[in-house]
Amino acid sequence: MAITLWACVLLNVSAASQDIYRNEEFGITLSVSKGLLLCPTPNDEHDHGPVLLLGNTNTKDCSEDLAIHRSIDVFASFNKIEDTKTLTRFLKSQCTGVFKGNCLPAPPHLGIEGTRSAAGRVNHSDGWIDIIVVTQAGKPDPLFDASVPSINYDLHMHTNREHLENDLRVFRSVLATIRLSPVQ
Amino acid sequence: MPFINGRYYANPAFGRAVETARAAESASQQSRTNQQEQHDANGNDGHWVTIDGHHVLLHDAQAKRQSHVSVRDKAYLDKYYDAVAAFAKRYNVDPALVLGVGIESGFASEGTYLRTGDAFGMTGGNTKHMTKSESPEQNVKQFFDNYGKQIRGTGNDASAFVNGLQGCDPSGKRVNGWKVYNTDRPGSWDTLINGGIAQMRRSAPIYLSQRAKVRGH
Repeated sequence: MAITLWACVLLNVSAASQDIYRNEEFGITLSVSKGLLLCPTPNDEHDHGPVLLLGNTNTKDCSEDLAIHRSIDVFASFNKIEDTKTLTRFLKSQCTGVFKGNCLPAPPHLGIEGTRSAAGRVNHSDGWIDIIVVTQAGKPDPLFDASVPSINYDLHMHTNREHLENDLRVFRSVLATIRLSPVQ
Repeated sequence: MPFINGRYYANPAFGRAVETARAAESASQQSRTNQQEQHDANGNDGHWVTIDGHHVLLHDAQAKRQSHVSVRDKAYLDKYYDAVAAFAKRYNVDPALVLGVGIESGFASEGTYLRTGDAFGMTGGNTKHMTKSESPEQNVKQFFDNYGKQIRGTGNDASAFVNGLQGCDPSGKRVNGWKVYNTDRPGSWDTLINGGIAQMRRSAPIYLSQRAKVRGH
């Protein structure tokens, strides 16, 4: 009986740890809801944030090119570059630099409670759509610029027209539950 | 090897000519940018963003040209410039490219760096896979030990340099057996590193100029 109970406790702990992504360096905590697959972080690489796959996927898909899967991901980096130090510059850099398109108006109600954020959308000719939300947090570094937070966060959804509305609901849920609390 | 405007050139006359042309191109670009800003002010260009739930049309304005080095960049270059320059010369790569990878650690000021001394983000996300460095010199050696072969000869070609770090040849074709710096978000990572390189391309020449003045050269 005791062994059975202990096994149950172990299973519960294991399940809980699988469902929560934590990144101490950038202060990210994210509970992974049903319908999302949290990709494992490569062990020998700098962890910039979680990658989540949407739809019917399995872990094998994580090792493929993300561009062919619907996904949500968070990419955090230190805010020490002039070109991306404000929200507007940072968003523009993501649209043009990462997603190779112009920033269009984002769908409504995309943001993170308690932080300033900016959002945009890039439509691609092959039907894929990128929705981008950027925000900043962390104690400013006065040796760089005392007026800007020290960490940039890019929260991004990659989807297509067919799944846009449903995936937006999931994305809004992620934005509502993610916690960005960098160590001060 | 002569060092002109933050870049190495085997032939000093050629180097000065390239840098003069580069300066002329930069001035021309600035002029075009100013014209573009004027165009934007007429409401004919820009891009939409949503800030705190409000759609806003932003007029694109070129970031002000940096004329000084931040205290943060200077502290980083004080620690890393000479060590990087020594290895970079041997591998025929612009030091600013290597220094740009320091954005991984907020240019040796943030995050894992504070515990490990690794400015280049060669650490994993857990305690089992952390690169530890006792000094900037050791850290730079670790960087070149890991990726030197892949970035050798890239000169001041940022695209070829980033491709090398990502396990590809200058044309972007994967090379069997080469390490990959970031596998899960290559687009975001490449943009981050290119931003770091742009920052160091601005800061390093100013830093060197100021350092030369202080040393009385």
